[in-house]
Amino acid sequence: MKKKFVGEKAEKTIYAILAIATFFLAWAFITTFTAAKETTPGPIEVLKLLVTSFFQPIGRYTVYGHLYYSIRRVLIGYTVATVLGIIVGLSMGTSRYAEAIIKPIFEMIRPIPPIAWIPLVILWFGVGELPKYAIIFIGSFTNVTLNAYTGAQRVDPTLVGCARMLGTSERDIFLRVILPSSMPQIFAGMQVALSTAWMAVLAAEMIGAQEGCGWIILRGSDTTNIPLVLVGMVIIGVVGLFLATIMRMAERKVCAWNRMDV
Amino acid sequence: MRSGETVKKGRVYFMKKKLISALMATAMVTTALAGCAPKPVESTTAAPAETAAPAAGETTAAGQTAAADTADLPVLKVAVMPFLNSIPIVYMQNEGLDVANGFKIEPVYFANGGAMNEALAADQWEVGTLSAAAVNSLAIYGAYCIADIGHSEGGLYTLSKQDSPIAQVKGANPSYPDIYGDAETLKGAIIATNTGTISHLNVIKWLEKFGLTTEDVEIVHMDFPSAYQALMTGNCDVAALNPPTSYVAEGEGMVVTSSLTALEVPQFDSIIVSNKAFTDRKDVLVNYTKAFFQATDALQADPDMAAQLLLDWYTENGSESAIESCKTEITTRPFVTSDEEKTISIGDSVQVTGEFWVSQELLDEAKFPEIAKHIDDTIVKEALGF
Repeated sequence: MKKKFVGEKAEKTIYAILAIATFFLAWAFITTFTAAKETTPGPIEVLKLLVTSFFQPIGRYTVYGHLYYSIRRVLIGYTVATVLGIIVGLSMGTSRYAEAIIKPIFEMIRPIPPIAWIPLVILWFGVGELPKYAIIFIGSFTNVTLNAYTGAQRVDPTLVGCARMLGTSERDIFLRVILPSSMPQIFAGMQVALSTAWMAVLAAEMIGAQEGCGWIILRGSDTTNIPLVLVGMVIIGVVGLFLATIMRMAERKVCAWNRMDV
Repeated sequence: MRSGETVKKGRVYFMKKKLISALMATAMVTTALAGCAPKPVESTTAAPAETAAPAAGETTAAGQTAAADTADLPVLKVAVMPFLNSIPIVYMQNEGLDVANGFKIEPVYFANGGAMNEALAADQWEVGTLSAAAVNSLAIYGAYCIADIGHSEGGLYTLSKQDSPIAQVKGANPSYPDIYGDAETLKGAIIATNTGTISHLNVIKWLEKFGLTTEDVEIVHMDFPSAYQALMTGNCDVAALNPPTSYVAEGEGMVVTSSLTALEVPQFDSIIVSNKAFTDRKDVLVNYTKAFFQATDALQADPDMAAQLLLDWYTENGSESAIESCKTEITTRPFVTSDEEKTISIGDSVQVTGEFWVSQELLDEAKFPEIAKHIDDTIVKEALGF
């Protein structure tokens, strides 16, 4: 069984490497042999700039500095969104009063993209770091809340009914039945939220930033430096992938009981 | 049954423990990241020879006294952008002109004039330098225009490809011999620009010279980098661009078919002051204006130093440029010196832009008179003594 699992894992890794290699080859082909070469830099040019930017600053920082600021903004905004999102989502999923009060407002606010909040966020929080955290918070809060809500709603009512019949307290029902059952959904929401938090970085760094991966893209766009835009995109993509992998590992550890292969 | 319950309890216990561990780890990483920030790279190399700064790490007794003194100075929140019009502010800071004039600059960074206006509503800056966006600052946010400090019409170009029919006709209007095109070649042309900006005004003024209006061409709205890309890829006939994109396009061999300079439409960058600062901090603003013109005088007196400072400023803000491009920009968009300022009727160009915005329905006509009400030359007169 374990041997089969290891084999499947190796197979998946090979496919992933092949897919990425094919993507880069297609990119190189298009930017070498088609009209796109006039406007779009090839992967070699972008990779060269990426490597250089580890030693030579883009603006005031090297890539390490930009990464530091973006990761900090994402983690702070995301952490607050996760904590509040789980609380709000579980409240909505377990209390009909909370659901009746919060859900309509939540559903109304949910479709508004983070970028639309920028003027209001500037009015409320100024142009320092706080509005950047706020935009990332807005970008990730919805997914965590929605998944926590769905997770709490999907708890098998028989389990809750049994627990109640056996005299379990409401607190224990929440901690021992609802919360564990909701965990896979909450983690799924956290995964998606992490991606959307990285997407919101670009909007967040529109607010008076002089550093960050989103700022790299914006500066590249403002100065028609397309290789710089692509460097910013590659960095966000790679870091997003790295953080998503860490999140999956954390999920496997925390929700080990939920894995099909165990 | 009993052992099954124990196993279940154990699972729940370990799951909660793991969840708490994961949250603690995230909190620790977040806290650690919040606490330690990398140091920015110092890239400014331009400095006049006679004002050499003390070597790094060298602290003098005078320096310590000065540091103690500066702590008591009033702080002015100054908006800066990654453009030429912030260079005097950078110079003031580098050369300590702020401290010498009895105040301290706290720079607040913005990517463009629109962002500056959004922040003005939130009272996030007190003084800054704006061009066309000053219309909204004055008409909507109640800010004041207190001085004109730079010729911003330079580098505002319309450009076409060399093989475009528009670029084959020059001097069709004898009053404007340097502009290209005529009514025939321009009719139906696709012109890409950022509508509502001075570049849009540039297009309108250009068309006027051949008896045309915007109805005779197809104006496509996009930001300047996209308009540049559209021109390069042949998706438009003309792009109306602003610096530095216009200089890049010119460098790529595009033909400058008209410019605000050739069309004799003057435009200025102006010092804009928030309503609150104008009401409460006039003394500091007089000193700021004095220091600002000390900076523009020095920058105009030494164009090479100004170009180097501009290059450093662009580099610091992530823009690729070359010293030659910066020299061109310094030459084509000169700063207003303290002597020239005495001859300028302040705020005229903001009024012209305001009129244009009203015509394009970008500004409510009822708001237009607010512009004139918010132009004030008393501060600059006191600062420069005229």
